[in-house]
Amino acid sequence: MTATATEFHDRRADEARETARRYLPTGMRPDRITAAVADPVLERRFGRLWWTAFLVSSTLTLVMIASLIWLVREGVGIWGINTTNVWGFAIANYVWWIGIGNAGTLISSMLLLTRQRWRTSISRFAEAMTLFAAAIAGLFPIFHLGRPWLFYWLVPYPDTMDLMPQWRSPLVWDFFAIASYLIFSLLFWYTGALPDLATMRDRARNGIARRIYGAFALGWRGSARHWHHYEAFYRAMAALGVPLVVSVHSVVGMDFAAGLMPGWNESIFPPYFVVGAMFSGFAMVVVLAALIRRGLGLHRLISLDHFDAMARILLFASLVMSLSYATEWFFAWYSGDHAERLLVRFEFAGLYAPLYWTMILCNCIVPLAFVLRAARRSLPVLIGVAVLINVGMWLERILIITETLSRGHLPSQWRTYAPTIWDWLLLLGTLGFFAWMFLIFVRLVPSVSMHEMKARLREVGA
Amino acid sequence: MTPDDAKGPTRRETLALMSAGAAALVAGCKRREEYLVPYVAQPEGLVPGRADFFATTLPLGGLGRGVVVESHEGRPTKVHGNPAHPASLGATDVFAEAAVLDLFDPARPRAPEREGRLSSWLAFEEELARTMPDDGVGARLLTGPVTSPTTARQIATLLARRPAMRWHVMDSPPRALETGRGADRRGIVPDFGRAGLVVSLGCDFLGAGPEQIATARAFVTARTPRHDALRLTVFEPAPTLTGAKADRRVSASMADLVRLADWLDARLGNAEPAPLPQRLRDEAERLAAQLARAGTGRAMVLAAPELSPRATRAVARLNARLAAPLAYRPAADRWPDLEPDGLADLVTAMRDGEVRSLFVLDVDPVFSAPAAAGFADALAGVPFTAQASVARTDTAVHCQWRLPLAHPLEDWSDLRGPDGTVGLVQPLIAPLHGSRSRHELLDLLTNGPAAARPARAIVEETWRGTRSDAAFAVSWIAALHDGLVPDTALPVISAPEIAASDDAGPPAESEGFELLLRPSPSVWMGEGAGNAWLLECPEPVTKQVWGNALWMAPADVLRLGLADGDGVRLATPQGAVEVPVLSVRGQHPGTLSLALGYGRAEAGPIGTGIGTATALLLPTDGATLIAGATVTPLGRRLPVHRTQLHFEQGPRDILRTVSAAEPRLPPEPETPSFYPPWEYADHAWAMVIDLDRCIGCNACTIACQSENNVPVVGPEEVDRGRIMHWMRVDTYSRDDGAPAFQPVPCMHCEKAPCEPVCPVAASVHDGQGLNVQVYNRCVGTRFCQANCPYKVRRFNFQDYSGAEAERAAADGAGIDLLAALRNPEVSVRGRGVMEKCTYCVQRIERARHEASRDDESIPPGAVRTACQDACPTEAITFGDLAAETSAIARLRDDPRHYALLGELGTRPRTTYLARIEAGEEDGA
Repeated sequence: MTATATEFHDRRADEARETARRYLPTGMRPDRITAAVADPVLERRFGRLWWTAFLVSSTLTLVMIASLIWLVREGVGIWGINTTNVWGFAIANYVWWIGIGNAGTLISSMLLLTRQRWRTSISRFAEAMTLFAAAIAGLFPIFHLGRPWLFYWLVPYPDTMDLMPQWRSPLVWDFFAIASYLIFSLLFWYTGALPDLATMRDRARNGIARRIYGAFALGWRGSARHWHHYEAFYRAMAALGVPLVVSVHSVVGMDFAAGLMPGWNESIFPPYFVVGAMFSGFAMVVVLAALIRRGLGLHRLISLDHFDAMARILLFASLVMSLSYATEWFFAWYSGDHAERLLVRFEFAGLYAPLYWTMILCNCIVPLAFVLRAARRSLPVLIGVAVLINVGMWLERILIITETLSRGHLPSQWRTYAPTIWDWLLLLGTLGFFAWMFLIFVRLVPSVSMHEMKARLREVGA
Repeated sequence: MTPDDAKGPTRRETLALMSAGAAALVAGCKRREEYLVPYVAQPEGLVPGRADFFATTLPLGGLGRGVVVESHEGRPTKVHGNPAHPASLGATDVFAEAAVLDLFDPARPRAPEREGRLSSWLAFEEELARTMPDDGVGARLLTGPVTSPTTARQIATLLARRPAMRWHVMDSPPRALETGRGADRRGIVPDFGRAGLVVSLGCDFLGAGPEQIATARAFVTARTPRHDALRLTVFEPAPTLTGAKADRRVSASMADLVRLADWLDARLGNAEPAPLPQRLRDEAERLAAQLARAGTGRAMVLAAPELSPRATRAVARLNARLAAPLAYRPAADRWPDLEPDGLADLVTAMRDGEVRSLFVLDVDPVFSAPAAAGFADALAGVPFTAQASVARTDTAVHCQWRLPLAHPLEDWSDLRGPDGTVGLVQPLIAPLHGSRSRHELLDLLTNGPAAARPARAIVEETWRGTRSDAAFAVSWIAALHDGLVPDTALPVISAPEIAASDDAGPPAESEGFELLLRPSPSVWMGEGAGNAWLLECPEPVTKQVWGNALWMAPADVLRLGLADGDGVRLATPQGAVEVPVLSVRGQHPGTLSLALGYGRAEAGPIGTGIGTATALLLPTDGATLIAGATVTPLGRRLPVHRTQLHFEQGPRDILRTVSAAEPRLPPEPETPSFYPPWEYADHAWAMVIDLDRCIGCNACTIACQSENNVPVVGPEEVDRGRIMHWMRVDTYSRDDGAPAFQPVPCMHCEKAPCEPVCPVAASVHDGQGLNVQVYNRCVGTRFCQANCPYKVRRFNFQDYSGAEAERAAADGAGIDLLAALRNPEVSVRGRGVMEKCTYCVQRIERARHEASRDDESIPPGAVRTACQDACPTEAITFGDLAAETSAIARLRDDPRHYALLGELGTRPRTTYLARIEAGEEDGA
C-alpha cells in the first residue's frame, strides 16, 4: 500500500468519524437506540397532543371524503374551473403533492447512492411521507376527470374494442410514472422497514401486536443470508429509484411542456419541476422531522446537524429555482413572442401579481436566510422557512396553471379563475388526510431506521 | 314549500330541462311505455329517419321572413332559410332559428284560463256570446301592426259585421329603414348596387330586424367585387353592426345628427349652414366633399328613424338633391279602407268607461307600451277582457281570459314581408296544446262559435278570390310549396312629400343625457324574453347575455365614478329604473343606450324578471329617443353576464385587416411539423370565413345551437365562464371604437394540439380531415381544451342535459316536449364529456349516404353546415379541398386568406379572409 493510498484511507476514516460525530448518536449503545425508537411506539401512551392532532386530522379526512363523494355526485362543475381555465386546484394540488412525494425517495436513494450518511436518521419517515403524498397526489388526476369512474381507460388492458391508450399523451406517461412511482415507493419503504418490523415483533409484549408485526416482518430472522439478500435488493431498488424520482416529476413537467400554451411550452420544465419537487419535498421533511423529533423525543437521533444539512439543500434548491424563474423570464423576452411576453407581464403586474410576488418571496428570497449558520440551526426559523417554501411552491403550481390558461392566445377567451369552497375543502381535506396517515404511521411503525442507524454506528466504530 | 316550488321548476331546473334530450325520452321510447301506436297506414312519402322540409313564414316585429323547416317524423327541429323568399334569401336570423324552442316551450299555456283558473274554449265562447252585443258596441280589438292579408280581411269583416266595434293597433318602434310617421310611413329600399357612397346618420340598417337578412346581403354583395365600390360612412351615438362595417365611423350624439342633417342640407343646397360644434366641423366638411365627389345618383343618406321630423325632412331633401338610389315602399301593415285607431285612443276610451269588452290579440301592451300611458290601470275598469297569445305575457295576467294561440309553426296564416311579399304560414305540427289559430279567434269574434271554420279554410278563402276550385288548387299547392304567393311585393312608390320646414330650429342643448332605446338584437321587443337560446345569445358589441345594461361612454363612466356592472338609477321625465351600466367603447359621451325587450314580469320560468324593463322610461307617445335622462349611482352592483371580457387584440394578428387599396396579406411560411402529413381517402373538408362579409349577427351561433343540440347553461354558469356555444363570434375593438367580428368554430387543425394530448384517443383525426371528438370515449381530462389555442372546445361541467331532466320528467314537467326538439342525428352529451364543433358531421354523413346510393362521391356543394346555411351575408364557405375546382380551394388561394394563430403550426382547416379596411385616404 503506497503512502498516498494510506493517506487517502486515513482521510476517509477521518471524514467518516467527523460525519459520525455530527450526524450519528455516537456513544449510544445499540440497545439504547432500539429502545429510543421502538419504545415510543410500543410502550408510551398516546399523549393529549397526539389525540388532538388525530381528531383534527380525522375530521379533515372526513371533509376530504365528503367532498370527494360530492364531487362524484355533482361533477367537477362544483369547482371554480371554466371553459378557459379547465384546470385549477386539482392539478395544482396534484403537482404539489407529487413534489412533496419526491423528497423521501431522493433522500433514500440519491443520498444512499452518494453515501450521504446523515440520511439514516430521516430516511424512514421521509419515505413514509413520500408514500402518503404520492398516494394523495394520485387521487387528483383520477378525481379531476369528468367521468372519474372511467379512469382505467388510461390503462392498456385488452378490451373488446381493441382500444389502447393514446401513447403520445403526457397524461398516459403520467399515469405510468405515478403508478410505478407509487409501487416503487411502497416496496422500497416496506423492504427498508422489514428488519425493524422484525425488531418490533420481538419487542412487542402484546400478543396481537406481535402477530401483526410478525406477519409484516415476513419471517425475518436477521440471518446473514437474509442480510445478504436484503442489501443486494435494497441497493438495486435504490438505483432504480433515482431514475424513477427524476422521471415522475419530469413527466409532470411534460404535462405542461408538451402543450403549446404560452408559459407551458418550455423545455426547461422537466428539470425545473424535479428541482421544485425536491425543494418542496425537503421543506416538508424539515417540518416533519422537527415534529417527530419533538413528539417522539428523538433529539439524539435527529440532531441540529441534520437540519443544517437539509437547510443547505433547501438553499441550493432555492437558488436553482430562482435561476429557473429568471430563465423563464429571459426566454419569454428573448423569444420575442408576444403571448409569452404578455404572460410574464401578467405574472408581475396582472390580477394574480400579489400571489406571484408572494411566491417569489417564499421560494427565492426567504430561503436565502439559510446562508446564515444560525438560521440553519434554529428550529423556529427552519420550520417557518420550510412552511413558507411549501406555500410558495403551492402558489407556483397553481400559478403555472392559472396564469397560462387565463391569458392564452386569444384575448376573447381570457377569463380568470377563482376557486370555490369545494376546491378549498378538498385541498384542506387532503392535508388532513396526510397528517392523519402520518399520525398513524408514527404510532405503528418505527420512525427511524433502527437497523441502519446501528449499522452506521458500527461502520464508524463508535 | 317555497314559492318556487309552487310555480314549478326553477330557472336552473328548467334550463336543465331545456337541454334535455336523451333519446330515451323521445316519445315512444319512454321507460314507462303505455301505448305504442305504430303507423297503421304510413303517411305517403314518409320515410322514417329521413327529414321532411316544409316552407312556412315566421314573424318578427309583425313582418314575415320565409323559412323552410326541417321535420323529423312530424317534429319540427330546425329552421332553415327559404331561398325563394325575398326577406330570407335562404338565410336566417337568430329569431327564426330560435322559433322551434318557443314552439316546444313547456311553459306555454295549454288551455284557456279564466281569472287564473283553467277553463275551456267552450266557456269562453259562452261568455263571449253573453257579453258581446251584436253590433259590437263597447267592444275593442287591440293588435300589433297587421301584415297578414287574412287578418286584415277578417278585421274588415269583423268591423263590418259589428259596426260599433273599434280596432286599435299598438305601434312598434320604427324600423331602421322606415321613414315618416303615421299614414305617411313608408319603407326605404336602398339600392346598394347603384350606390358608391352610403352615409348613415345613426341608421342601423345592418342591425337586427325583419329586414336584416336582405339588407345585409344586398350591402355585402355590392361590396363583393371591389370593396371600395361602396363606401360606408357612419355617424352614430352607439356602436352598431352598421358602424362595425363602416369605412369611417364617427361618434356623434343624436342631437349632433340632427344638426349634421341640417348642416348638410344647407351646405349642399348652397345655403348658409348653421355653424356646427367644433368636433363635428371637420368631419362634416369631409362628408360634404365626399358626397359631392360621389356624383349624382351614387350617394345616399340614411337617417336614424328616431330623428326628429325636421331632420328627416332635411335628409329627404338631401337625398332628393343627390338623386339617391333609394326607392320607397308603402308600409306592409297598411290596408286600404282599414284605418286603425291608436293605443292612446283606446286608453282614453277605457278610462272613460266606453269599453265594455277588450280583445288583445298577440300583443303585450302592459309590458311594451309606455307605462305613462296608463294602459294597465285603465284595463282594470274594463268588464270583459281577453288576451290571446302564444306564450304567457305581462298583459295576460291583467286580463280575465288568457287564451292560448297557436305558435306560427302550428298555424295557418299569411304574412307580408318587409317588401310586401306574402309568405304563407303552414303548420309543421298539429297544435301541441289546446290553442287556437288567431284566424279562428277572429272568426269566432265575427261569426260566433256556430259558424266556426278551421284556419286553413279562412286563409284559403283570402287567396281563392273568384277562381275556380281547380285553378285555385294548382296555384295554392305551388304557393304552399314555395312558401310564398308570387308577385305580391308592394309596388315602389314615390318619395314622401317633403313638407316645408315650419317647425322650430335645431334642438337646444338639453340638460342630462340623451337616452336611445332600440330593440334588443337578442330578444327583440320582448318576444324572445322567454326563449333560453335568445336570452343566452350574446349581444354583439358587449357580449352580454341574460339581460340588458345601460351603455355609457367610458368618459361618462369615469366621470360618475362607476365601473362595469355598477347599478344606477336611470331616470327620465316619465320614470326611473334600476339598471347596471357598461362602459362601451364607441359610445358617444352624453348619450346612453339601452336595449328594449328585457325585464318581462311574466315570461315563464326562464325569462321572468331577466334584465331591466323600459316601459317606465317611455313618454306617452312611445318615443324611443328621450332627452334629459339622468343617472344616479346606486352604490351596489347589479348582475351583468358576459361571454367575453377582453376586447383588445393588442399587437396580435388575430382579426387581421388589409387595406382596400391593397387587399392582400404577406404569404406565410409553411410551419414545420414533427408528424408526417395525413393521408386522406376522398374528402378534405375545410371552411373559410370571410371577415369582411361577417356582420356579427349571431345567426350562425343559434343555428349551430339548434342543429347540434347545444345546451343552454344559464346566467350563473355564464358568469363562471362555461358558455357552451360551439360557434362563437369574437368581438375586437377597432381604433374608432366600433367592434369587429370574428366567428370562431373549431379549426379542425391538421396538426391539432388537442389530439396528441388526449390520453384515451377521444380526440382523433378522421379520414376526411375532421378533428372528431368521440363522446363515448371521453373521460374528461380537459387536456384537449387546455392545449387548444383557440379554446373552441366545450366541457359539460354540469349535467347540462340528462339525469336532472329525467327526474323532472317523472313529475310531468313537459320533458317530452323538449326532447322532441332535439336533432335526432346528433348525440346529446352527458356530464363530464368534452364537445365541440363537428363541421356538422351528420350533414356530411347524410350527403355521403345519398351519394353512395348512386355509387358516387359527394358532389361539390352538397354539404352545407348549419352556420353556413344561416349566414345572411354568405360569409361562411364550406367545402372539400380535395375537389380542386371547389369554391373553398379558390378561397384558400385568395390573397386575403390567413390562418388564425397560424404561426403555432396547427394548420387549421378553418381559415379566414382578412377584413378590408379603408385606409385614411380611402375613407375620406
